[in-house]
Amino acid sequence: MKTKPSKSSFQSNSISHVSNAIFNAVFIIYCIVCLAPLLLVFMVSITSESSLVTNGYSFFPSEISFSTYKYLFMDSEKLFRAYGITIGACIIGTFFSVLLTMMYAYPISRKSFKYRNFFSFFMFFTMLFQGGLVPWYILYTKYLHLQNNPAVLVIPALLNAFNVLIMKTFFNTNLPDSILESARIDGASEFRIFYTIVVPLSTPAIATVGLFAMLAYWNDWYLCLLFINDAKYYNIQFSMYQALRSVEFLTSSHAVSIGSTSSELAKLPAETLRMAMAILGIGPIIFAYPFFQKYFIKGLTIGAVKG
Amino acid sequence: MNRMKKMGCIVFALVFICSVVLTGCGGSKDSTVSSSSNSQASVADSSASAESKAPELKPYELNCYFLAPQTKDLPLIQDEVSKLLTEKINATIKLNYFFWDSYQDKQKLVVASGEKIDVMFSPSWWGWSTFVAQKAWLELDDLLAQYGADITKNINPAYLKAPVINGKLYAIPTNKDMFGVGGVLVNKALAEKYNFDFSNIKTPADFEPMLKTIKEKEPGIVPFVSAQGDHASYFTQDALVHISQTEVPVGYQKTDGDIKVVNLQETPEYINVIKMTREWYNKGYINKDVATLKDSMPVKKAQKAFMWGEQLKPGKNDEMKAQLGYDLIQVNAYKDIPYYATTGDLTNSMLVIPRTSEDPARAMMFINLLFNDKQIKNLLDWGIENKHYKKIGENQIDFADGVTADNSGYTGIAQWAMGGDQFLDYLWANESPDKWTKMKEFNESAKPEKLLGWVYNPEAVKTEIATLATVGKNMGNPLNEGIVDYDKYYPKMKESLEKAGINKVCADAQKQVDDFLAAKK
Amino acid sequence: MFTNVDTTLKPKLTKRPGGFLKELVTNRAMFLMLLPPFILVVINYYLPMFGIIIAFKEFNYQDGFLHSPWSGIKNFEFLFKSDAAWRITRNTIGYNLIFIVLNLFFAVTIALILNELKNKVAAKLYQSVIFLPYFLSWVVVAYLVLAILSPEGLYNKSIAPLLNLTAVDWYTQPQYWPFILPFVNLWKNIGYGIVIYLAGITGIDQEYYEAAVLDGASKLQQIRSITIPFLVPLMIVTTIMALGNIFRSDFGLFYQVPMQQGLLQDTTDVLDTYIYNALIYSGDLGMSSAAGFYQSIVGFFLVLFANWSVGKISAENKIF
Repeated sequence: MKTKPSKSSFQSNSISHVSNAIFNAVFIIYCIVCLAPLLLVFMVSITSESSLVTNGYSFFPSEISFSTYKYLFMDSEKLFRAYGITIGACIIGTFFSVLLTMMYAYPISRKSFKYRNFFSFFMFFTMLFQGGLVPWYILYTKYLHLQNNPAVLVIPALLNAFNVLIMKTFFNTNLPDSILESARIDGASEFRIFYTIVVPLSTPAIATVGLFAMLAYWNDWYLCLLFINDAKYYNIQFSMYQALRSVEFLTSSHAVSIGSTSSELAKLPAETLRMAMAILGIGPIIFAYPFFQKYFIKGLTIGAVKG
Repeated sequence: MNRMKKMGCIVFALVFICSVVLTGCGGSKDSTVSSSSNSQASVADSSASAESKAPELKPYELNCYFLAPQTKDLPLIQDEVSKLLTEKINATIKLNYFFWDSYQDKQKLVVASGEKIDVMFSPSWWGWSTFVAQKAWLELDDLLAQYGADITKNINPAYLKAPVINGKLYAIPTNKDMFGVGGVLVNKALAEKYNFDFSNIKTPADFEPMLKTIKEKEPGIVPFVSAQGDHASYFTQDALVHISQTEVPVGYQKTDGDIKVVNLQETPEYINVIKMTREWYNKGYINKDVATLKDSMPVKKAQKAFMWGEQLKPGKNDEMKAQLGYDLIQVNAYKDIPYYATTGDLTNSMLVIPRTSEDPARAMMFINLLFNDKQIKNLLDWGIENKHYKKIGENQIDFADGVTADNSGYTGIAQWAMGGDQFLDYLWANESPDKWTKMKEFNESAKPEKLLGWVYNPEAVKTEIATLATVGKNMGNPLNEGIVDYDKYYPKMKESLEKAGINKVCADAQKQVDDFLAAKK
Repeated sequence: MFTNVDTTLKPKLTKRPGGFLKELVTNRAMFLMLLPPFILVVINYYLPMFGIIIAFKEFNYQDGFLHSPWSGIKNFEFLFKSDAAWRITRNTIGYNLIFIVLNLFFAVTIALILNELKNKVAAKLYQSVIFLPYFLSWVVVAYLVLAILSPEGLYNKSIAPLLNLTAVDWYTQPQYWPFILPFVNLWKNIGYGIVIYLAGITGIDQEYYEAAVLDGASKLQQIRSITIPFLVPLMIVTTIMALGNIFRSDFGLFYQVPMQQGLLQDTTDVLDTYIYNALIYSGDLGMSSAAGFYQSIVGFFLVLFANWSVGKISAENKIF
């Protein structure tokens, strides 16, 4: 978005080759630190039991076995259900989160709206002061009766001051009143202006807020921990958390149809089962990551520079 | 800053207005709740008259919480039980199962949430009396009299005298073994392989040579498997009684002499066991991941364990075989000591009716069925006939064809925690047919303690108890698990316990004990 | 980030009386648009604020939320009489300060170096990889840490034997966690900071550097006298935001990563985990709310104080 450095004039102004090499080496090491734990978990998940007993966790298991994955996929209903819940919450939550954030941010960014300061502060105040866990929990359960209702995985995280402020700042700086004014003179209603002019012009901010929301929904386990009692509404992160606490969660439910091979499978080491569960939980985000991190960085960049 | 102040004033004004409005509606809402609980007796009356014209009961869904794993076929069981209940009391049931790793947490959360709950498992060692002090459970005397005829008929009368606070009954205990013996379960195949002789075990320390042998000769087998909250402290329960939940180390030593309420973690019985556990841990007899392991069942199921602590009763080994699928031996930890039946034993498995129940009468009718309806009781215990188990005799069952302990869609239920009359339960093929006769004899062999029938009422110190529970859970577990050294670690814990008010609780309990004993004379 | 919020709009506040109804009519579309999210804010954030009264009550289920007897400040007395208050306050503030300093230092440094690397493709790749952990949930991070630190883990079974170190049972040794937790936090969150500061660096006008080169300034001098001064406002705003939240802690980090080990509580228990545990273990709503109230009120004044001190340093960077 800014002028690119003109290369010719910069040839002289760069770091020396030696320091360049050192920095590259440091970065490569740091990147390994970032990736190694993920690889380790994957390797443990395909380590055979005997190898695990003798060598513990290692990057180089002496014997490889995919039986844990076979085992998990044999009773994949639970897993796919959890994915379904997470993906559903992600899609619905992200959509409404962006929509509501814009609906709040747009009016308070318009100079023609007299009470914008009050409403801005009303939102901002929630960053300063909160009621705390207990009253919040009791409100959602005792008064809104949302416990054990999948909607509770979406509603509490729909709107937060941080996202509203990002959106508002974007509107303030990138939506000149003149455009809106001319549309108004053409007789367009406020709602029409909102979705024919405001929405198309705000794609970067929508992407940023949308990705924040998506990440929050994808990684949520806390709402599930607090509000969901019924295993059929567990999302993927919470299922992983359960598996970490108790492998029974994975083993006790497998289908009768497994038949006679099951007693052998039941002897699978708990550790590899857990780690396989983690890999299945991490999987999608790793594959999606290269695709969306670009947009994420772009969106954040705009937020930071323009703010 | 000025603008900020102005804004602040406006927002606070708004908050205030909303709060008044909210208090208004909330108030009316709350008062309906309390009025309904006040009028509970009248509800009971009306449904009592309804019972005489039995079929006129309105359809109702009972929402129940039990200590049990969330097994795959739970919805099937739920439907079956609902079918039976519809015929009998025109009710359906919603079964919520949580197991060791989550029951305690979930119980606190759902009770706090004010969810409509009709029947809930609430043992004394998980803070039952604190809930009573917080008025979370209903008094059951009237309901029992009206709808619990079969309960009073079948239960051992001692049970109904135990969960009584201020003269009122707050739970229906399970009719089962009346006291527990601390001990271990041992993998029989391994014990036979090394010709271990258990006949001369006098104290837990006598297990050590065996653990040593296993450690040396069987790599990959955990000699003494433990997990969080599931460890060698079973050995202390022959001598010590907790008066509140297990995390709160307040109680007394079982004795015929004077009863002194003390900090249990300073009793010689406790210190001996803890020091022994520490030694076992250091020598590698206990699994190193004990601190992070929430549940040792998978290790046991995978036959990677030699021995573990357990609360024993006649036939415990056979019961566990149905879950684990291999033979076990049960061994008492101490020999030649008197076994007392205590209030703690009588209240260690109980069902309560929470205040949020919308039809406590129906909840009591359901509990009553658990005391007289073999079909419902066994359905909850073992699943569906010919799907999960098959009958091989009038009272004996085995796995249904093609089903094993590993692949059954409904096993591993803690039957002792399902409430009702355990003597109605079917027996497994491997269990001795006279298990229940033996259990009755066992129950009679107990020596009633002096305090039998006394329950600690923590009302005056419930905040102290709450804090002690947190301290006990956080700091006590490492001690019990053997991962810290008592002499180095305990002084710090003692300080925390004292700050949390342990002395006040001891004094308060001592006074109640003395009053109880004085009144008894 | 949200610096110049509304400073231009002040004069308009002085208005004729009775303006609200008129405004309601003229801007009805705005009000309609605001209504749904406004209701949500009221429900999710404002209604729970009244629940704070539980902190002053001796809660029981029969009388409920509103009619339980008042207990004055007994719940607070209790919180401060036990050793919990000091421990959780110290840990919460201590960890947050460490996080702020570490994240600021490393994010700025790495951003500066990334910006100077000759190979821009490699730089992009490094950035992507470093950013990756930010996308993982705390549950996943707990798994990763467990795989390394558990008694059977990478450290005890591979690294320690290789380097001739003694095995350590990390999950029972509280003294190591003040190092483990900041490292884990840095590992997960640094990518975010780097993106922000890189954006700040690319936003600097290249003319400054060209002029500096003409003056014969070295790279280090350029960074010190051009880049960093330009980044300072961003650094201040980020830090202030973080300081404002110094009384709130990342529940996921402190709950998931130490695996809820009681033995570690000395160095891992923070306000948010304490509040949660007070609810879960003891079921005492009053105590838990009291701790929550303590967090909210002290946090509130810390934000005001942080903002005030920024105002003293550089007025234009105040948040409000």
